[in-house]
Amino acid sequence: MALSNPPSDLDLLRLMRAGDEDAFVALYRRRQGGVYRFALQMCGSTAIAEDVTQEVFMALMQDACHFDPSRGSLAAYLYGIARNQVLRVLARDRAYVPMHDDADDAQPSATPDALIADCDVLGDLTRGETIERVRQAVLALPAHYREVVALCELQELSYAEAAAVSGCAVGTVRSRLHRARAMLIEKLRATAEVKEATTTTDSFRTARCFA
Amino acid sequence: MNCQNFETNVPELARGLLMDAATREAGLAHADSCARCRARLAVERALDGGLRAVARSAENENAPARVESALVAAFRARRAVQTEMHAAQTNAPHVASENDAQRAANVLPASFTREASANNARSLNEMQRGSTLRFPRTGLRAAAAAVLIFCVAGLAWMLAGGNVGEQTRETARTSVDAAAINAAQQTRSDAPATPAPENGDALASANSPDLNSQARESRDTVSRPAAALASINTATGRRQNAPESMRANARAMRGGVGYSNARYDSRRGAAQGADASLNQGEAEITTDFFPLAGASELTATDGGHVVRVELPRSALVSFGLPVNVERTGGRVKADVLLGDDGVARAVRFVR
Repeated sequence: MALSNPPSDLDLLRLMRAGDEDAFVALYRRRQGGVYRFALQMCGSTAIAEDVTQEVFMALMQDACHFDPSRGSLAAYLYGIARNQVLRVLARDRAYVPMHDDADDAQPSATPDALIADCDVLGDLTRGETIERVRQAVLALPAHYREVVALCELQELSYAEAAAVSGCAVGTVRSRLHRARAMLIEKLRATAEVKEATTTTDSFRTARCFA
Repeated sequence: MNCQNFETNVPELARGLLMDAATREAGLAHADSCARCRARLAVERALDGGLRAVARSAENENAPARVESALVAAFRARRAVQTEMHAAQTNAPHVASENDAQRAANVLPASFTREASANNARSLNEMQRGSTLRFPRTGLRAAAAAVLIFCVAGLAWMLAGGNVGEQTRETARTSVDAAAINAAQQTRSDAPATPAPENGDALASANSPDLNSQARESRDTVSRPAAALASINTATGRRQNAPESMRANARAMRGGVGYSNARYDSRRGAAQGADASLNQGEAEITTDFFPLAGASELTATDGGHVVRVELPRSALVSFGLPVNVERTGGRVKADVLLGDDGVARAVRFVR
């Protein structure tokens, strides 16, 4: 029995346009995970991520003819729709966005010396208990930095694909990612310092209690 | 490579991305020679490890199945609409008719019915007629609104008529009740003319020698142990008149009243759980209640049960009632009055 290659996204899209439900389902199952995770990493809410995922594929149903393969992959097209949906939701819920995001955006980039210090603070980031800290740090980034981190670091898209999704130049993506990583290091180090200070204070209080 | 150039390329170096081989070698060589940049590279690699860990932790996160279900449903609905539109476009060159609809049905998917095709044809006719249909559509809407208003008005009129009918039925019911009261009064006129005491006054008048409670019970239309107690307390003196009493009971029963297997709570003044079959069935002839030996008296505030039982016919003898000697082996029905404590207080016989 000859094994056939799985159909490409374009083939599935073509079949989907012709009304093939199976093609739509196959395309959905192939791409929904990335879209959902990207939305989740952008907004941090599973409910919003579900809505965004649904909206993305509804838009694909309605506007599939607007997709131009010469401008990028179908995945990038879907990520772009998801990005627009997430930004729309974030703009709608702007009142609930922490104010310090804008402050961080306005602050100058951390100096390389600041990023060098406390290497051991980030040395154990691969451990399970610090994953949530990294996730929260990503969510605390400004939206345009967050999206490049989500696309390039978490979804592992290339700079070109991320640029297609974000609608900006590759150089812009690269600089944003550079800046976003510096901000993440700052946030994680600050979080680690706060945690260390809290631990020290607790130890001190405990010592006084037994004094 | 100097430190500034290294800082520019450090994310790519840390992430291990494809990059120019010469730049990569130069950057790594600089990191080996510069402690500061080496530390910087270590921090970036640590961050990269953390981000990869986050990405790995989210690998299995997918949209829930309900999203797929909703999308598939939307896809089917959209496909159906598109098919319908396609069918309409297929018929567009013609002035659609029912025959065209039949023809369209042949090219449509099997899921489309002939009725749907006919609707498409009619819709196409309307589309081709264009603006001239706007006024008739408005007229149709107005006609539909008028019909709706007429229906609502008719419904309101019917509801009003229903109330009148209800009032008529209520009047008829009142007439029936009046007839029943007249019948009861007729029954009472057959009984000794004694002012009927209320429920709470039953014990006060219990020792009245001419108290025949059966007619009074017909007026009260509920089972009342207090009245029964009156009968109990007077029955001893009237045992000899039992046949006459039974005839009076029969008359009372013809008025629709009698004791039943009912739960009576004198504190609430009403019978609960009346066994309608006893009242609505054929008339029964009952004796007065006969007090049982050793039973304490029931007061007006006590509750009780009347339980229908069957007793040997010979039991009639112990209460001084006549017994047909040829039928002494049979059984007779009796109502036993039980107090709340479960002790039988009295008994009456039913025929």
